[in-house]
Amino acid sequence: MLNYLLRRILLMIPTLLGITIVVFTVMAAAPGGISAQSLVDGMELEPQSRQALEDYYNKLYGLDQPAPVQYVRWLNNISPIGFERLADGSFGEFSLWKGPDLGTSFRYGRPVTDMIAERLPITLLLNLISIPLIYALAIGIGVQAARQRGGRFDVTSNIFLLGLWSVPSMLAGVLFIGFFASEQYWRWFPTGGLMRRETADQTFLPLFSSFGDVFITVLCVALITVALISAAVSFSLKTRQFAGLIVGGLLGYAMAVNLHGEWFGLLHLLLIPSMAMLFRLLAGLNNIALRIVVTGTFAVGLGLAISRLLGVEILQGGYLLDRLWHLVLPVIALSYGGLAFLAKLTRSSLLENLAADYARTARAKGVDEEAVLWRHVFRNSLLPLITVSATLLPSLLAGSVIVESIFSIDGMGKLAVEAVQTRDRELVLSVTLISGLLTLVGYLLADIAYAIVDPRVSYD
Amino acid sequence: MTEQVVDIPVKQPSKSWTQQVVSSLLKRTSAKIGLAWIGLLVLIATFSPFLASSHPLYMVVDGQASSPLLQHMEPLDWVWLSGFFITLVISALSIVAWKKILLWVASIAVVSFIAYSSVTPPVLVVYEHYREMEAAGKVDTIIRAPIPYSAKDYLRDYADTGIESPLSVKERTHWMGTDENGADVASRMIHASRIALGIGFIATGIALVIGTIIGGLMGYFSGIVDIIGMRLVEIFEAIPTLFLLLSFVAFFGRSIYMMMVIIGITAWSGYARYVRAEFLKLRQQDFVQAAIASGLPLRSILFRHMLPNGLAPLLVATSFGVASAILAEATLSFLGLGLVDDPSWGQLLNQAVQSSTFNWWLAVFPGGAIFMTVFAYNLLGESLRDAVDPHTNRGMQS
Amino acid sequence: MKLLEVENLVTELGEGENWLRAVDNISLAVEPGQTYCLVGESGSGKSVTALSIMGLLPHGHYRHPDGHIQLTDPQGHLPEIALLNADDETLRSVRGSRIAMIFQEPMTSLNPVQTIGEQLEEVLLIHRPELDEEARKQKILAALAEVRIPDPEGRIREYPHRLSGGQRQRVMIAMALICEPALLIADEPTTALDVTVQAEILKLMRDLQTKYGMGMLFITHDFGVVAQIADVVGVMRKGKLVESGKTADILRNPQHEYTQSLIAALPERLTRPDRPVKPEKVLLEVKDVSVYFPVRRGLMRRVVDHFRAVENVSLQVNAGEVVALVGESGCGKTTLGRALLRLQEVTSGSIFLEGQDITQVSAKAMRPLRRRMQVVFQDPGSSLNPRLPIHTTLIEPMRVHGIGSSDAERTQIAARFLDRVEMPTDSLWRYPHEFSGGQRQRLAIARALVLEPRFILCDEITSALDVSVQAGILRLLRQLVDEEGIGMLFITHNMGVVDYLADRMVVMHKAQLVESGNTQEIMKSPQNEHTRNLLDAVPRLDDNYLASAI
Repeated sequence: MLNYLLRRILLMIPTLLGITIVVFTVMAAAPGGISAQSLVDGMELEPQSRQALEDYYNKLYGLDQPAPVQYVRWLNNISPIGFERLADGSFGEFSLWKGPDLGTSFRYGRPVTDMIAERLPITLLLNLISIPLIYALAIGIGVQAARQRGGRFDVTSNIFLLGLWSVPSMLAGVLFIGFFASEQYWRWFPTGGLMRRETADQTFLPLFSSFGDVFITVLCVALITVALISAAVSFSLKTRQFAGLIVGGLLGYAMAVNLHGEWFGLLHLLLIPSMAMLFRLLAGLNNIALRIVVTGTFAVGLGLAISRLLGVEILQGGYLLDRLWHLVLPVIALSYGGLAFLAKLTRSSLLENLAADYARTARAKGVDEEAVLWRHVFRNSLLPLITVSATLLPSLLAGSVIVESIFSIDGMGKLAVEAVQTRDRELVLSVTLISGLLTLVGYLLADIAYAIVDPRVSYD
Repeated sequence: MTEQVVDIPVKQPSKSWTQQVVSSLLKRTSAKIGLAWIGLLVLIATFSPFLASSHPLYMVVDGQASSPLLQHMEPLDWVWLSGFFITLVISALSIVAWKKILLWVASIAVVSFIAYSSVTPPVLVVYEHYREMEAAGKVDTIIRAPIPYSAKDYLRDYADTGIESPLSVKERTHWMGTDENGADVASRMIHASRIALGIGFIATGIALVIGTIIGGLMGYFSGIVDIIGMRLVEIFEAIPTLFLLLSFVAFFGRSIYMMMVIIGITAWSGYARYVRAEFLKLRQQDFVQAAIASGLPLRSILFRHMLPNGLAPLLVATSFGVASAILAEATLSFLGLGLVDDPSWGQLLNQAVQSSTFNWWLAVFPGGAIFMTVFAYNLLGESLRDAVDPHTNRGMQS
Repeated sequence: MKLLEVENLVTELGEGENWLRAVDNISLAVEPGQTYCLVGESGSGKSVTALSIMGLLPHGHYRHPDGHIQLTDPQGHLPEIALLNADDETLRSVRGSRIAMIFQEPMTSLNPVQTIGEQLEEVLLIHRPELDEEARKQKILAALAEVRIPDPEGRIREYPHRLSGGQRQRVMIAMALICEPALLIADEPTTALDVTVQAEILKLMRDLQTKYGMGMLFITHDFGVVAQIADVVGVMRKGKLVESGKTADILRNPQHEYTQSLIAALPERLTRPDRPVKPEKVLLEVKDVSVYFPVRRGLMRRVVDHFRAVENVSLQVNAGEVVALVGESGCGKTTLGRALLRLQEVTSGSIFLEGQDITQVSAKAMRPLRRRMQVVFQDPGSSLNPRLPIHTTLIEPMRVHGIGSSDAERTQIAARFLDRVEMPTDSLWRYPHEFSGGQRQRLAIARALVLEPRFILCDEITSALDVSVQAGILRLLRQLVDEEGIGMLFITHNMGVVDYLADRMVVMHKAQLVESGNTQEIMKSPQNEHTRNLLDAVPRLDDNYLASAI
């Protein structure tokens, strides 16, 4: 196993080199290339100052040298071992402790490492929240669909998931922002960014105006949540569907009133039935776990809204809540695609395994269907999920680009777009390198996870 | 062995694999929906100049009849039209598949050459001209396209028209509103379908060809070819595609051909993996071994025995691949890195959140078109997967 | 008294509108301590019968319009149960504790991600909840020891993929017997195993049955197995039970014509035509051929060892004779065959085709030579290119080698060969999927013949076919060899086939050649121990045997 790990890590190096060569070639081959000219273009300078600035850049970054030399220079800079680079751009002595230096951004003038250190955690935050969410929900949905193969849930969820997967994330993001976060429609969520400026100084947890308010809020939320969840669990199908219809209808009415006022218009006619149908569907779900999750979320929101109505005043939202509030829409926009894909994969993998020979043997031993599913089939079905998780991280990174741009979140994705738009060589190379590295690490982790789960695989 | 001539009965049609797959496919509802939408899109794209144009189809002014629409048709419009009919004709012929492809490519080339050398529409176009003439009453009869606006008819140039919601202004009917330059959204969407379809097919085609060649070589020869090939595949897989696309586009400028090539180059690694996996499996198959043992030439083994049998997963992947190519172009346009002047669904979507207000028609309609197209290809891909997989259709065994 | 009684069982499979009657009015009974063997060719419904008894058919895809199955406890402690439409809970209490079932494919029948110990323990947890952990462990160890698995303590923590096929099947048997069921249903448990392993497993099952007084319902297609273990035989055909009775009676005096045809189709019972005298012309000569595969380990994938697939094998095939290459799976016979055809590189030694050394000849120079040696493979499912009509498959090799001056002429030639292999000429325009397994093998033989080769390699070509279909193909092959003077190397593990078909035989064991010579002589008095094992593993039901051994 250790051998295998070492081999993989060693093999990552040529791949990373390959990636950087491709990107470097693209930049070098482009018209305008990577010479100092593109940097000073557009600045209104006299010819002498222009020349001086070009010379300065050339010296500092070595931009007047041929592309391969520049590439080697850059390689030298990023490797932890190599020639030290002095402040004026020339090279000093060879050192084993140089440490990687990703260069300085042309556009921002700041060291790339700093910029990435600022932005990377944000992107990682988004992605790392999304991944467990995706897996948990996908497995839940997939298991439900596989259990009732051919049933209504299965057939409809299949098409629904395919449709969900087909929605382009930019459309979803735009619709989210447009409808749920703008001033024209419902302002349930903030319009962008990851936090409001004020909350940087605020406490971590929310601050209420009095102890009594805290009590009321907690009471409200708790009561409503417990009531709704027990209703969701115990009521019969018909009752639940009817209740869902009513609740949805009321909610639709409230939403329409929020926008257009009391009288009935086209919006009311659209919203009330659609929300009613949606809630009826959600209330009618067969899977208890899914029902609890859905109802619980709804109940918490409702509880908070009601406690608000009761006059509870929240002095400060607090850092935590504010962050969460800002994260809701971007995380949904980022994860729904992966969710749909994984849910379908889970379903087909489960179905395949439920029909396998060893499942038949288990049944022949007298194991009941639930145990066959969870004890025997489940772990085997996870294997393709793990393989696919290798590609999940890169696709999420790509998705971050769009989501961050739409929601104005200052993460790596947005940085990448800006870097490319301004032809900032150091930044582009570094961002590509980091993304490539993350992707390869993702692949490696997936392989290791696979080896852990599947005892048949041994890496010698 | 006696020399008598054996009486060979007449050819009886029995279904080849392709025919089986097609008939199995057409039985599925989702495939039918997907194909219906794609068919609709093809029709819209082909006949777009006739569907949405500011130039009237037929106009009589002072007794003089003319067709400004036909006069202003671009060479590309003619190529699309001819291409459509050529495709219909060729697919009805009964000759071998690869000959059909060759014939198609040749005909398109000939038609393109003729079109580009002979058709020269007027360079300067003033769209307002027709509306002014009509307002002044100089026109006797006029027949317009159903949507009487061209994609580049920027009303802002002539009047103070900006973004308008659908059907909000009485004098002009904009079924889907207008964009920030006053251009009719429906018209831009219709003309943008060309770009979507074109990029989908061509980019995927390029990726398919590259991927099949490299994957086939890797799968057949193994050894050093395989090692190098796999490193290449890994590199292109690990490159964050979007970043590469962004880099390409930003550094090379924006041309539609460049975008097609680039999207194709970033997508080939998936196809290469499929082809390689299939070839590795096929090499061990008995009929391939028998073909080698019969001394058949390499090209026959690769193209006649291995490739047709490895097509199944490729077909499925291609359908999904076209969907992702269309999505890639839309994403680029959305991020503002797409084509500048030519209409694109992504670019329209971008305008939805540009101004301080949310212009829902710029999100719903173009976004809906992107969604429907991607959904249609995905449906097709899923149905192909079911039609091609022998396991799902197995009956009971005793 | 009867342990299991099946009356007028009817099972239909399908869904929605389409239902297929897989089992049509079957009645049988199994007594304690008795083995009932259900025999039939593929598609006869024998497996469906077994699955119906256990209720293991795919949910929603089966129905029983008629029938009654009764399970009785010989000791009288446990209640009688009507199995056919019992509820899930009853069925689950029965499965694994009163009736146990073992299946055909040991490779896939065990859960790959659970250890042997866990899978064995599960049965106890369900059916013997009163046992504590220590008691369970003891039972598991005892069960493994009983099926003769060495070192049970160590094995408990192992995963299935580490065991061989035979060992896995033993584990399956242990799992089935751990709760001491009254009835064991075995669905072709030895078909996927080597013949020598098969003999051991059958003996084991027989011993255990005697020890526990179990009743056994054994499903098979192999009459050799029937002869070894069955007390009562039932013959099934297309869902119906055509004949049943005591083993000795059925085998010696089958009454129904179907049973008679099945037994007559056994290769050891086929009539042998007179063989013409052949000139001694050496076709293929193999001298000290070895094939080694490199084994790579370590960080840099260095070659640390070689896997010896074939070691120093020499043999000879003359024109007009069939040489059988016998051995167990893994002995190297397939690798040797491929090496002879130059589909596999030879590490050392030489191969002479009609006097010419072809061992190191380049691929290009090989091409014209390939005309003289052809091959037919085992799996009818993949022996023909599914995308091409038979016409193209047959014509293409002819075109490449310049046989015939036009496609029309080549089509004529192809038609003649189709005739030769007893296939209708309109097969030319059909696709492989339209033919059955046996027909596809005939077409594959035709493809080998169109080039008029001097030497044909047949790699287990009838192993995947039903015995009646096999008989036809064997007859065809013998005819071809006698009439055309072709030299044939026939790889097989079935001694009955060797007996009928081969003039000479060659035995391989663990990459080496252990015995060779005239077929009849070796069969009468084998010199080598491995040969003896192979010959003794499965009985050949010739007249001697039937008269004496049952």
